[in-house]
Amino acid sequence: MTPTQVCFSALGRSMWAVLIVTSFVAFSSSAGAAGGCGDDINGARVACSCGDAVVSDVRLRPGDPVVLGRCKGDGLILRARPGGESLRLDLAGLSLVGEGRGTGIRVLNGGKGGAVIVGGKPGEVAEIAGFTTGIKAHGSERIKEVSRVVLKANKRDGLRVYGSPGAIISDITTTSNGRDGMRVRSHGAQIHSVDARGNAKAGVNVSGENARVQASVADNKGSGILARGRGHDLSGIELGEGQKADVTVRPAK
Amino acid sequence: MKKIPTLLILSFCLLLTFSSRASAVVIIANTADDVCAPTADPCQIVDEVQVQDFATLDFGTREILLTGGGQLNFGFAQADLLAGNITLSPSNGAAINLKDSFFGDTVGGFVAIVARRACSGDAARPCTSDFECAALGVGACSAGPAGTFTLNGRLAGNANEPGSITIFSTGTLTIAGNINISGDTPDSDGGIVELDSSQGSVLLNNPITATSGTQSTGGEVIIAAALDITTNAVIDVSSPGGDSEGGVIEFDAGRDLHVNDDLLANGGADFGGSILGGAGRDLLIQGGTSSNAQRIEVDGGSNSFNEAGDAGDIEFSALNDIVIGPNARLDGRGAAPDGDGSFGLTLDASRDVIISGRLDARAVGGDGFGGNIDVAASGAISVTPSGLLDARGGSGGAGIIDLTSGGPMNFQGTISGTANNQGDGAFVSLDSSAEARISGAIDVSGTPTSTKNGEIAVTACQVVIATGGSLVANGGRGENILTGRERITVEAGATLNALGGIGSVNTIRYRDPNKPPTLLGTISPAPSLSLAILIGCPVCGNGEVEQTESCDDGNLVNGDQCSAECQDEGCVAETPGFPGVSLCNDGVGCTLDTCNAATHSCEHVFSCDDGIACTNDLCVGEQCQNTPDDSLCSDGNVCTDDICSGTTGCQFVSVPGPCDDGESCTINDQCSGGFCSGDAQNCMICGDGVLDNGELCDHNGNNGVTGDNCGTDCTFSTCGDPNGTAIVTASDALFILQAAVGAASCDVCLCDVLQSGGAAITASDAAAALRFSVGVPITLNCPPCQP
Repeated sequence: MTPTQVCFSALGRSMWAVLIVTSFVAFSSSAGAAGGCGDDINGARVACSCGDAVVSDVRLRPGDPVVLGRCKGDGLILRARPGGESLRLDLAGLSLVGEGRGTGIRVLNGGKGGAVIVGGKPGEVAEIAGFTTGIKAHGSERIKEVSRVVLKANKRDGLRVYGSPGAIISDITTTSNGRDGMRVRSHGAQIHSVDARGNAKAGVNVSGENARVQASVADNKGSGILARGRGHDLSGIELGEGQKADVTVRPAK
Repeated sequence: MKKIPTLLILSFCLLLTFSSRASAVVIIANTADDVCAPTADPCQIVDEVQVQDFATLDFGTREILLTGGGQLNFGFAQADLLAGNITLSPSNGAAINLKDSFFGDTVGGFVAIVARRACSGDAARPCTSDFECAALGVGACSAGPAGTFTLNGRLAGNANEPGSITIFSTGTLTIAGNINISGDTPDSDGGIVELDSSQGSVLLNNPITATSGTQSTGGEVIIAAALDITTNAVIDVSSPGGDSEGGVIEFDAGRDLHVNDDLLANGGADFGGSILGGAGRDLLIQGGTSSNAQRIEVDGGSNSFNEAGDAGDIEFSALNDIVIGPNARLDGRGAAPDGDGSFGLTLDASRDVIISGRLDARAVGGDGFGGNIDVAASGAISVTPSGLLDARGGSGGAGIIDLTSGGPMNFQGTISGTANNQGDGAFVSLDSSAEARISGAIDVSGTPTSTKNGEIAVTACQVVIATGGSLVANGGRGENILTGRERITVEAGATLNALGGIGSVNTIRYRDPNKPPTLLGTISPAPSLSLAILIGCPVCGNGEVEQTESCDDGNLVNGDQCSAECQDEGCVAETPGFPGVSLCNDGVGCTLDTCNAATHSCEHVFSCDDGIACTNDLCVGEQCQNTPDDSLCSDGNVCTDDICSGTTGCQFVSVPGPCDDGESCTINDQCSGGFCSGDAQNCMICGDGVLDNGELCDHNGNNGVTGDNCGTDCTFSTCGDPNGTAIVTASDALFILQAAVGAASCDVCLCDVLQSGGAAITASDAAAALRFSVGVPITLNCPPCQP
């Protein structure tokens, strides 16, 4: 027995004392808690700071620390409880800005069906800039939808989604990122109303199968659209100038 | 026995719970002080430490030494550990435990461990980058400890839902213990490992495993370093089979990337994974032995229903050279029966590429597409005799292989681009801006009954199919195409075959009718020769300095300061290793090396200018460092955050917050969308010359001046009352008379009391005002006032 277990044994049937100890320990465990945020953390709103785990739905507010100043590492990490419902992150038209490291929004566990990330209400557009990767989701069912976001000046990809079959990525501007504007590997991804300009490699890099892509691409140093795999629908592409190649499709034949 | 009071026992239990070192077994840690005394440096951890959820253990820049029975346990929630140098060397092998139980499942934590230095201008300020210190005006991140991280023990994090561990170090980051953060149920993804050294190197001496379950996605391993990355152990983010995807392995080395052991990102019936690597200098994949090849794999797999997965991607890029050693296998193979080979097996070097190993993007089964292999070099491409490029396919056809070099291309290896099962052969393109010399074997034969089949296109200034070289495009309708902008030679003992059905051809295209191709080899069928309009190549001895020439004195003689190869002999003498290195290359990355044709000597000018206005361009350790500096992007707009992107320059991001839009009549000014605006308010200011809400007039300093129709309260003065006293007096009549004779100025709405027409203000107006002032019942009727 550990000394703590000895304590509980000695208290015997004194349940009130047990409750006091348990609640005290629980309180002290969370007294240093500064990492979980959302609009409903045990009935209260906890404002998000840089590097925090979003554990409940949240709509950011202008005074939240995460939108004030720069984040040294990650911006926000979406982490639903195991078996939890889908998380919704509403950026309220605000900006997450990094110092060149970390991920702006990293989805570790989006909840059942994947997370929903929106830049705000209709008319609001959020910006995610200056991280290594703007938005990243790796694994099964991480993302259900990403919409109304500007991904700008991230060191590598503006957005990277691997997995998440059927993910919806819409109303996205991805510009001036250091590698691909958007990199998606998935089954049946729905990519529409995307504007990919001035990225250091591809504007939209999609692999996997049966993606549907509607995008405007211009001034990307690689291909405007790089589509690898089978069954992709590229009928909604608008091509601008200034690219090494407009559309690269593999297999080509 | 006397009953011990419950309160006493309760008090003892509370004391025990909070005692930081009372227990020799487990320390409960919410803060650094729970682990060590605040002044302990180094902080020696010899016990097991249970880091609480969402805890931040901030040791400043103190050193952490974990030895003996020490171990760090992180639960399933988030925790940060920040210190100076961190060395974890437990005696029992277990350094970090990264999982906990939650409702019966094991769940991994999300942990960040940061090893820091201190700002040079404030030793009490920890830092991991110069940016942090510069932003506070306290110098650079160059003081205090070296900020190293060393893992000598084991990190265990495999779980039902593995977590994530990020290790940031400022100095060298060394992994000398096994890291296992894999999923251990069929639907578990692999975990995430990020290693990042912001000023130093990363050295991996023990394996990292982040595999997944059979129905899920392999993990992520991301390694970045400002200097070198060296992997001497296996990294595995595979999925073992079933309906699964391989994971991602990604490298970003500021200097050299040395891959000396296996990288595995194989998938199941979904996709193989991705292996992405970038090096700021050289990328070297030179592991394995002749009996135990080095495996770099993103193969597709299959499941129990015989459904096959496609291969993933391998992308390597370097700002200098890429070298693939003879025992290295870069494999992106599609599984049987119909998995496709990798459509993205890419090598991209700003200087040279040397391939002695295997690049395999084939479809293993009978129904897949062969994949795509792209090799690009601004310098030379060399495929040695042991080099093999394979893009074979099945019914879908073979793939595409592109080799493009700015310098010479020397192909001595093998390209396999055949197809079976009615598939077409591959499309192979070898394109050099200098000489392309082919002495190896290329085969793109398809199935004889196929209608399209393969194609081999060799394009260069000088095309040489050397003795032993073989281009085979047999099948239904194959084609060999040689395009030489200056010269084409098929040596004796070389072979071009396009033996198949109707339409199989050997085509030779050349530019200069005075320089027809030299065809001494075996070409079947006989070639079709054609003149083509092509861009010319440097011609040594024509008196013109072209492209790669550094001189051209009109002859092909040595010893006259310009060699027979049209290179400046003085500069050549100063360049050891030329032509293996470019002329005047001094090996210093920070210099622009040129040959001065007048002095016949090399010049080395410091130049780290990356063309981005907002980066600080420095030469550090003989390498250019271009560091983004946000202060060079300041636009003076508080409603934007100004960022310097090292690739695209200044970027401006809108930020919220209070501001001043410079308008006195707005309040609650706030930033929105990068602009400052406020709510309009009623801010009538009489006398500012601006007609505000509520004012009838505002003549600035003239308000209330006699004769001006605007009073001091910004309302109009009364007809007949140019003095603005609110009553018509004899003084007003006198002023009107003065205005009538031109001795004063008066607005007609004050002084033209009779609106008599003609001259607006007359003596009659003055008389009428005088009669009104003494009570005569007359009506004063001026024109309306205008603001």
